[in-house]
Amino acid sequence: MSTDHDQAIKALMAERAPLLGYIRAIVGDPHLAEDIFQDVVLVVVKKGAPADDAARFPAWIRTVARYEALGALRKRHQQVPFDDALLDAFDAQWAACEEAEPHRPAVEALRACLERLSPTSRKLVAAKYERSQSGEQIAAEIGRPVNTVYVALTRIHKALADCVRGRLARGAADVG
Amino acid sequence: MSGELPALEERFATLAFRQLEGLATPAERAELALLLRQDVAFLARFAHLARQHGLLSELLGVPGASPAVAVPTPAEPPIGGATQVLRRSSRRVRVFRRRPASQVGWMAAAAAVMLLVLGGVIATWDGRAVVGHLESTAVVRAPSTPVRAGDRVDGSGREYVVLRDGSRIGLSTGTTITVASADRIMLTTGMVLVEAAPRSAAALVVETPQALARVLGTRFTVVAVDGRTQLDVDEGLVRFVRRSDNATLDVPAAAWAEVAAGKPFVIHHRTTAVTTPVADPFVAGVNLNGGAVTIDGNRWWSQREAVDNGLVLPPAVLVTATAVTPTPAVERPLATMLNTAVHRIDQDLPLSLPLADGAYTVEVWLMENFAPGHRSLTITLEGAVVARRVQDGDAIGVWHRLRYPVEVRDGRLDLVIGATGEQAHLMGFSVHRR
Repeated sequence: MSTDHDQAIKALMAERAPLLGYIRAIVGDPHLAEDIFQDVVLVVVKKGAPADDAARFPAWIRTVARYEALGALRKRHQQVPFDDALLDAFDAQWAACEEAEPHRPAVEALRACLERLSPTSRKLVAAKYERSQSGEQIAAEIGRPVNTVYVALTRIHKALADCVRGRLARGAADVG
Repeated sequence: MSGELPALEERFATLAFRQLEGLATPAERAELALLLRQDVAFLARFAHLARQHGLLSELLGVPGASPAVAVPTPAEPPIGGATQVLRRSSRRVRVFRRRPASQVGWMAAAAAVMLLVLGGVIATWDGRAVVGHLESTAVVRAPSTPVRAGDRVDGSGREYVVLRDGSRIGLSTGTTITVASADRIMLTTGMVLVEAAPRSAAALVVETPQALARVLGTRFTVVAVDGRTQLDVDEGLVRFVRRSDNATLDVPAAAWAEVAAGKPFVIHHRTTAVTTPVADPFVAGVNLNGGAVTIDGNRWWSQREAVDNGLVLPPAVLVTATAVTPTPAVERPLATMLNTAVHRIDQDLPLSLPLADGAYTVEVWLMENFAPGHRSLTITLEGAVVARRVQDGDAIGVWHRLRYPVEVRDGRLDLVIGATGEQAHLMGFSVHRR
């Protein structure tokens, strides 16, 4: 196994969180997403990754993940929810998002932005991401309709996104 | 949590989160796809939401759910592969149903990504080299803990033992194995999935208290629980040995056998596919959702005629007419029959036809007419399951003519096509007196 190979594995592990998000968007089931991620790991271990251009790695690994996700759905006799054209468009949006908000700086910005959430929002985020509760579970716990929870979470995500973009833009300006 | 969003926005939020939580129904997924297709702004937001979902899980997720990764270092040359969570196939589900609830469930809470470092003794994944002599067989559980020959491994649903030849042994939750050597696994209790690499030398052996399974390259499952051992072969051929009397079975692909008190030690084929006409005298044939048709020189009823002759279908049964080319190719009448069907979604499809008591041969005709790998069917005749995993993984157009002996004792032939969570369907069936 070459150093390039090791680099590919390290790069893959560094991309684990967003890649899991990508896979979940396609397959839904978080457990299946974990399975698929590990299939992707296996592909990288067995075949390595393109060594010519590190910048191409995220797109390449998403392609592998997409292929594995579709294969896994078919193997489980589940209908593929999105057709190829929609998945292409989704991937293009994902790439744009990745370009605007690179992974590591985005995580650091997100960490800071979480601190700025209101206590109520922070509680919701904690329920959703620290305790991995579903919208339905949160709704049952706080006695609100599930749609209300989803809408609230959507707003929190938007607020976080705006905050992250602002911090990244300021960071870029500072560097510049 | 106050304020109102337009209805479409609210719907998008619900659908997007339900998809990311794995709770979306097929109808909701279709609705989400429609929204994403119609409005690129929703598509952009869904991509952003999914990405942020991943990042927040990384930032805030519980420590046990974070990846435990053993990245190979220069001082410890990487020579193995990655663990791979066992896929939960319908075959496993079938096995689980027979097991106590405490023992089921491949997916333990720990969501670790595990890279294997195989201790300097295992061939590389691409087969370029074997580094050293086998002393330790291989596994690493998070983070990089090699299991030496003779060690016990307890499965939490995500462990994967990798042997020197690349064979992989997956452990379900509650499973305990001892890796005796690179060629021998002792299964004390639980279930393992074996993906054995082709071997030219010593066979890979999985031992249980009741039986041995020997293999030279295949994919199979062994379950040892409650004093019985079941072997289920996906690919290849596995020699199954009953310890009590050394009785031996060579279990082929798509078949299973078990060692259990009071149970016959025989091979059970998952399905019986045939291509030649049945020799027994024709009694009746039914072209479901279609007209009268002649198959093998016998005139089959249209569905209407069959109903007039007492065929009972479930209320509000759905009907399908397709224009799929059967594979392998068939004559026009048969192609016509295979392109009409009745089906039900998320429910069994029971049919009942009046029939004098006696011994019959029943032929069941099926063709995948919707999507590749869309369904896995169970066929029940007179209350007994005669086939499982029918059409499992079929491409569009692949058809099956399945033949089963049956004894009718209540004046009716009862046929049920089962497909939990999927579409149960049937193109036609015929009955022949034995």
